[in-house]
Amino acid sequence: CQEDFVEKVDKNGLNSDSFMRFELQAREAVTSVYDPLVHYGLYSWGFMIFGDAPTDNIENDWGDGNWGPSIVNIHNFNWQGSNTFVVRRWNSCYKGIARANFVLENLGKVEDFDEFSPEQFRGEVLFLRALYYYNLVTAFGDVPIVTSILSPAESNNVSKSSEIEVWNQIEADLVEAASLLPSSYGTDEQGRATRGAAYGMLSRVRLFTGDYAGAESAANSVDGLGYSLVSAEDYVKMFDGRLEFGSESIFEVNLVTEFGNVWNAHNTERSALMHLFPRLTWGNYMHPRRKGSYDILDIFEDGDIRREASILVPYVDQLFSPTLGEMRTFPDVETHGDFRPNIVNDEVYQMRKFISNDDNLWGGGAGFREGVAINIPVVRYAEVILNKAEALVEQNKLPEAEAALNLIRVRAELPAVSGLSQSALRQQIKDDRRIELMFEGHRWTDLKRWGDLSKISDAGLSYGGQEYYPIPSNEGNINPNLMEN
Amino acid sequence: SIFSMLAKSGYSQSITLDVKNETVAKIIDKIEATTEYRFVYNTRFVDLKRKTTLKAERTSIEDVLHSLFNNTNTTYKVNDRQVILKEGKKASIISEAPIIEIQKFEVKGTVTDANGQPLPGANILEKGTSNGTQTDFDGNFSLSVENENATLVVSYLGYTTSEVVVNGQSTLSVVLQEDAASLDEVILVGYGSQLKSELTGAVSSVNTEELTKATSATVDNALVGKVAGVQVSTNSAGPGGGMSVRIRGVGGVNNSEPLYVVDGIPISVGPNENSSPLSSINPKDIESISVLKDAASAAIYGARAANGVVLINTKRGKGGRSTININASQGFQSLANSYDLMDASTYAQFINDAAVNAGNTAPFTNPSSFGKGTEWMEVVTQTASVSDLNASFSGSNDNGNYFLSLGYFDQEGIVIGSSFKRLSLVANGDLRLSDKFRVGSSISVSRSKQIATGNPRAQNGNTIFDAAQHYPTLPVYDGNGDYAPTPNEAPYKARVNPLFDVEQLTPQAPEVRNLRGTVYLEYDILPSLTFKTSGSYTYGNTLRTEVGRIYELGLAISDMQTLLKEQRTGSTWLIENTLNYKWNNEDHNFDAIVGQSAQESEFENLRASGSYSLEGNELITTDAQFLDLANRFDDNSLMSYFGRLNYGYKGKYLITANLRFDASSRFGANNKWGTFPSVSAGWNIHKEDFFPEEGVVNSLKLRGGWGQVGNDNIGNYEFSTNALSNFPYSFSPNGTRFVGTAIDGVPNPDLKWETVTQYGVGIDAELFSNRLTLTAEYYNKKQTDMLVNVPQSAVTGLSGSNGAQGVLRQNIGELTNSGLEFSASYRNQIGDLTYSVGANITTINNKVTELGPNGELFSFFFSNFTRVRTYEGGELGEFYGWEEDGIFQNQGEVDAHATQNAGTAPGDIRFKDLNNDGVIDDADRTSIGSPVPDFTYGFNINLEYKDFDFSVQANGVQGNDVYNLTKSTMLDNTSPENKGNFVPWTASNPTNYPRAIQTDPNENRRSSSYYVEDGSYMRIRLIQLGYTLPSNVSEKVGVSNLRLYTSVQNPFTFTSYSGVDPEVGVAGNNNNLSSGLDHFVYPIARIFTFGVNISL
Repeated sequence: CQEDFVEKVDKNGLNSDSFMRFELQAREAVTSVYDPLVHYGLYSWGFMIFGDAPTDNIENDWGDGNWGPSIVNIHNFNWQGSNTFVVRRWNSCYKGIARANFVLENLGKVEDFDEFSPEQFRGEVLFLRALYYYNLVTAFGDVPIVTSILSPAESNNVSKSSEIEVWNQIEADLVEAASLLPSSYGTDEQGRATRGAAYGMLSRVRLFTGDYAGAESAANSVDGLGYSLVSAEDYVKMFDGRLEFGSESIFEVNLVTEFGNVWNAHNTERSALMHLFPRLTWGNYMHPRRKGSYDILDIFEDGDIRREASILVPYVDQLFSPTLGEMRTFPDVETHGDFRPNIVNDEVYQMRKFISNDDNLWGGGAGFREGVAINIPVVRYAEVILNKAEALVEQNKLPEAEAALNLIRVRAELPAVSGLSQSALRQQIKDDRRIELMFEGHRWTDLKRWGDLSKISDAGLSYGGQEYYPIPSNEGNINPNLMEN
Repeated sequence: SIFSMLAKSGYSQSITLDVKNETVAKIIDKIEATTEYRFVYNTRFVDLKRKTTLKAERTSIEDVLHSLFNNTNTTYKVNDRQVILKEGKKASIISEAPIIEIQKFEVKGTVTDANGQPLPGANILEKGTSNGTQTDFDGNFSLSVENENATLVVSYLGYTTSEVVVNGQSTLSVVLQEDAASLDEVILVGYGSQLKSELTGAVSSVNTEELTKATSATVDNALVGKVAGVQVSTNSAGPGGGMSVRIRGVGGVNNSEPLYVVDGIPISVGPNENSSPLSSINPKDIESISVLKDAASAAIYGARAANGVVLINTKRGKGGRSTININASQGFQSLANSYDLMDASTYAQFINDAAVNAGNTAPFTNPSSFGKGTEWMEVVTQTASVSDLNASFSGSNDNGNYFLSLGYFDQEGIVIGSSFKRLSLVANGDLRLSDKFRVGSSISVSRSKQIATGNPRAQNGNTIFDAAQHYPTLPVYDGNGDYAPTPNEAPYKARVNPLFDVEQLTPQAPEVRNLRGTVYLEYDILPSLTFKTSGSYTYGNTLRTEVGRIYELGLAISDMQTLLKEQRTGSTWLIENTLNYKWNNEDHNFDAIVGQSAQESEFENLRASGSYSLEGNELITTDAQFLDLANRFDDNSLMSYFGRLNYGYKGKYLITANLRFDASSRFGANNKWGTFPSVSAGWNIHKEDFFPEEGVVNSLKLRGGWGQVGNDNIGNYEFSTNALSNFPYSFSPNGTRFVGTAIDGVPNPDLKWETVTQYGVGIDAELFSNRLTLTAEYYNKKQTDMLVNVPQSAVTGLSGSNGAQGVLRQNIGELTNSGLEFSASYRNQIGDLTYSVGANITTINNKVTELGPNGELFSFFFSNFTRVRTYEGGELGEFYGWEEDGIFQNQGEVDAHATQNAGTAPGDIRFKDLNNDGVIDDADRTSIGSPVPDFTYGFNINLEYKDFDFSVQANGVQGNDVYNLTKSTMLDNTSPENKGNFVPWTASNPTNYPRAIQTDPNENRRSSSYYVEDGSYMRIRLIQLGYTLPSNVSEKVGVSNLRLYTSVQNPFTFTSYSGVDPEVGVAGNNNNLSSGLDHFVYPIARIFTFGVNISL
């Protein structure tokens, strides 16, 4: 009786002993593994900050508030372990990994599976765990591999694994995920990881490990799953919210519009890409690169439909204005008097990708509150084709590589290439990959994989030779193991 | 007076004594030791060395006193438990008066104390003669004197003697001031009270009269500088704002507020920066406050006493008559100090320069055209009123007493929109049912409403932050007389017009209702054995209603009306049973208490919100858009057994031992129970035979103690971890969200209380006929198993989505606080001038001796930089960052120095390369200051001259640093908001401020010693002048006492700190790791008050 009196149990929720005993709870636990995807360090806008900001794709010399200086520092290769995006990338990935590990350890304790498939759940979290490790290894290199639930004592004493061990872990998770996942879902659950997503990621991952035959085979597995490139006309719609989960989409982070505070990214499933809005005076980060003698427009061949789909050139490009119901030249200062001065003055380019097709959303008010609900492509069929082309060219299978590349070029309304040497074809694949996947977070990792980081200095950035971000300094303070090389 | 009830002693206890040839002093000691009677006398009037023999068995006090003082010059009076011994010559003098016909002038009058209570038995002597008399029970006297210019000498034991010139008046009112030094104070201790002379622990009692002189909503505010060893500082100077109270150094890393016990009920207080835990208590209802500073005295409160205990008792009826007291005051508050900001043209020029220097376009075409612009701080501040009204009714007689009080406090804030109002009611009473049975109750009810504008210690602001940051280039109103919007153009961000904010968007004040009630029953099983049982219940309810607005003001838009209602209810019941046994013989005196206590608290929170597209909704209905409901329940319980033994040998050697066992629901399954022991001893050296009786030193006591206490002040279920369901994700293009649930933490079943082991020694002395009182103490407090929120590596999955590190509460770390406390008071009289001065000083030596495996704890992540680090060997919560080393004056200096950032240029701050590696990076950060003071002090002066009284109260803090985050924000070039009034460095005008550059490539805004300043200050808190109407005048208007006063609070602050106020307290959730951080704190008010005290 005495002991009972001082026993109080938290009634506000289930605890670690009682949670995940039923299949609906298992579904909720799996859902929570997806949640970190929309965090700032990942597919809210981290993909672009890490993937494009420190490259020849971006000009970013201004930044204020909480975020701006951190992005400018990444762009300028002033890479500190206290950078908020560095911290967020690390934290969010491990949050996702820990939740995945919880599901994997507890799936067996779920009493009955009736409506749902435990294999599918396992496949989903394995895919996600691999995706989180991919985002860790490409940013940090050697990182601790955690595949079980850690006690506090353990978590503060883990050691780093080598980069190749991390890639092997990713590969193993993706291979198993591919064997477990279905190839598609019903309309209401299209955002879940599929077999195609696992194979698509695998085709990319194997390029990093130099397993070109494996990359080719993974890409071939995707080919058999019914994906196809969208038409040239629909190309831009994949990036402005008009075409989500299209035939080319393999895995995308699904963002939805809703009322609320956009800053609580983890609660709202919107990206922070509203900072790109041309009518929001204070965001103003990350413009397509035009600096000194470097002009990103120069990399596009004439007639490439991807130029207008990726970049808005002031006073050249036209956009449909839902406000007026007609095509208008950008920036349309007659309809909206509040464009950023540097856009009005034609000092900078504006991204076209991830800008809503509705000009009403570009400003402070409505856009600010609703955020950007444009889905973020993580694996797109075009990328898998390019992965395959790269895998083939590295194996010196040139005609097949050309055939793959030409799928991409022809869709972009460019002439097919033929008869190129291995090195010329390799370069063409690189050039088309840069354009095809521009601002989708691939440029930095691609340049590093290719050993082409000198391109960054060539474009006039103050590149200091970095290959990895420092592990967050706060983590090193807790666990000095993480600071060892 | 019309309310008087004739009454005698309200207390009676029979006396059993058998002494042979013993001194009067010893006999008095014995009576005091065996009964609750306490003797008050002046050694000059009582022959204490006279030896006598006395035998009494269950005899009344009056009979014992009669036997003791019969045929001596000493007379006696019994007043409740107090026995007053007086000089007894007058009877014979009056009877000797032979020449009545010479006396021609008849004087009548009354003698009262400062509160208007009549003093029966006061001596009145015509100066230079042996002619005299004594007051009757109502304090009245009449005396025939030589002539109308005679002088009367009025004396009363325990009071200072007063001389009054008759000066032709036939009616005189004489007010005598209490002479506290000659009284042995009764001090409140845990589960009882003790005579000050018998205390062995470190307990300070506070004179509540001193406390209530200043106008303040809460009593903690008035404690500032009053008690040695107790540092009180304001967290928010807003009405009803929060205070931090630190007893003997800086406690652990968590909430270090003391345990408050009000009328025997420990009140659970959630730490809150913006609201005082004592806001439900009207300071005017407080009778006494005791601070239990050491473990020896606080161990009786066991697992909750680590940070000391503050005992507060509310008033009860006394004095044998009915009294009405009325206090009323009206004050006016004004801003004591405001922010020095750029005017509009300076601001516009600065923004232009910062843009141009960064290679961007200047946003303002003609900066000088703006002129002075708008001074937003002036716009949102005001001269504010504060009213304090109190009426109390009290009385007592043989069978009981009562105290009823009604209070109303209404304070507007100097920042428009903030306010605090309280209506309070107290009903206390005690009733004697029979010789053995006593019952009583204490009931207190209050309703308060507070709008705290809050402190923007975190990144985002409040009114003060918003006003100081708002653009001086913008007008308050536009051409139509409407609130001017912030235009959507460079460089402006979407900031709301601050006046619109305070006038239109201020939320309704939450309504807080509090009830605190206790009922007890006391039964004397034997004359020496008393059983007491008490039941208490406290209930608190907060109703918060927020009605959103729909508006469009430039960039600031709200197109939905959000209605929010939140109901928070908390209740605690407490049952305590104690058995108190007192036993003594000639030499030995035992006083033992054992008890049991059980307490359980429940809190429930229910919140609903809904949004509407039109304004005008008052209730949340089911058709609201985005209807949201939330419910939370918390409970905790504490079960305890405790005991205390006091033993005294001949009043010379005193020893006290405490033991308490607590079981708390807050701790993990493996560590529910804790044991908390203490012992202390005292030696009254002046009672030794060898002690010179006629020396300068009147009393001298040496005391010391050791004990262990605990801290359970953490959340309710921190040993376990819950699944949270707020990690949703949508898999569907149509936006349907799936619930996502995860365990967001790690359970810790080993969690237990934090232990404080404390020892100390002290000396109490009285000198110069008790005019000078001195206390000196040394304390040493060691905190072990400190409850630390240990940052966890994110690899475990713990981390905030905002990038903050996850934490887990663990018992890790050790901390010591040691220091010296001195307090002194001196009182004397020169002619009509009575004066007293008091002073205290406390030194603090704070050191973290162990802090877990990493030895470091980082906190206060603000504006992208960690600002605070606690580390082994340092003090708690030291500021952390780079060391500033001046401003680069030219490119040569930049090139010669270690590489800072890519764009570092002349005009940027140079940081020290501490590890000499040629690069300024994270590794060059170090400790850049400490918020822990070297010493704190306070002093007060009271003067009384005839009918006037004058007092000054002051306090100071020395040797602490303040992190001026306000300066950091106001120099931040990367934001377009208004700046502090500084002149940026240029080559032609090389000031000490960084250059203007929008991109801030050097990160001049980073955490550095550039923003850390000496936070020492001395503040005059109160100057008060009072005037008491002569009683002959006040009686004409039908009152027994009437005092008028005027005061000014916070008139002067002496400091070198450059910010608005150096007293910044503790931020956030009262975590000691965020103290001394100034970020746009609520500015302190200077208060001018006029008031009146009336007794009927």
